[in-house]
Amino acid sequence: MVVALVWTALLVAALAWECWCRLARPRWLGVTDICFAVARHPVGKLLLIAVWAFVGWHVFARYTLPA
Amino acid sequence: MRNGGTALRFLLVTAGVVTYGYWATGRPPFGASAYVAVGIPIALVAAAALVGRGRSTPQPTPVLVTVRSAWPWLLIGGLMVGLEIVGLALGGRSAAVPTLSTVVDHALAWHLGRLLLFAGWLLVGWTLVGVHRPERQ
Repeated sequence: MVVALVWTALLVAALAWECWCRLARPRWLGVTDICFAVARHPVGKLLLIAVWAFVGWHVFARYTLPA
Repeated sequence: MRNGGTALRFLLVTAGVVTYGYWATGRPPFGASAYVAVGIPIALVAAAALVGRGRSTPQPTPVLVTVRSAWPWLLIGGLMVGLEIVGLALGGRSAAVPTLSTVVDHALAWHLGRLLLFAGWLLVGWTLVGVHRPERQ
């Protein structure tokens, strides 16, 4: 239960941090900036698409509903 | 007129995504139809990326990714990876240390939750296709 809350806090923190990076443009990069930089290279783009495909496959085709 | 066409296209695309997403996220997991429903967008995105198609995504000014500029995300990512490794080491379904997918499964219990996440996933995939290498000067 505690770790589930830690996961939730991490996800909320990640989302909030990214929103702040997009709005305030601080000196640190948002994850979208990092992904755009990686995706500009063909290999990086294919790597990100592979990660994206794995996430979709794992989350939407192989999920287990909680009892 | 141009705005009207753009709005109509947006509506049609949104309706298509919602319809397809509703069908795709209604498939029972681990079934052939679920694999097909997820596999179709993956195949389309992979094909579009390989042939260099896709609408150009508005891209921010190129940035230099350094440890100093990316440390907050390295910290968040490191914590997530560490927690995931511990969860997997404990069997992946531990009640004490669940993995991220076990936590996300709770959001997937509702069809609407699955549909929203699926639509977001499609949007990320399509955005990735639209990122192109900058022109050399």
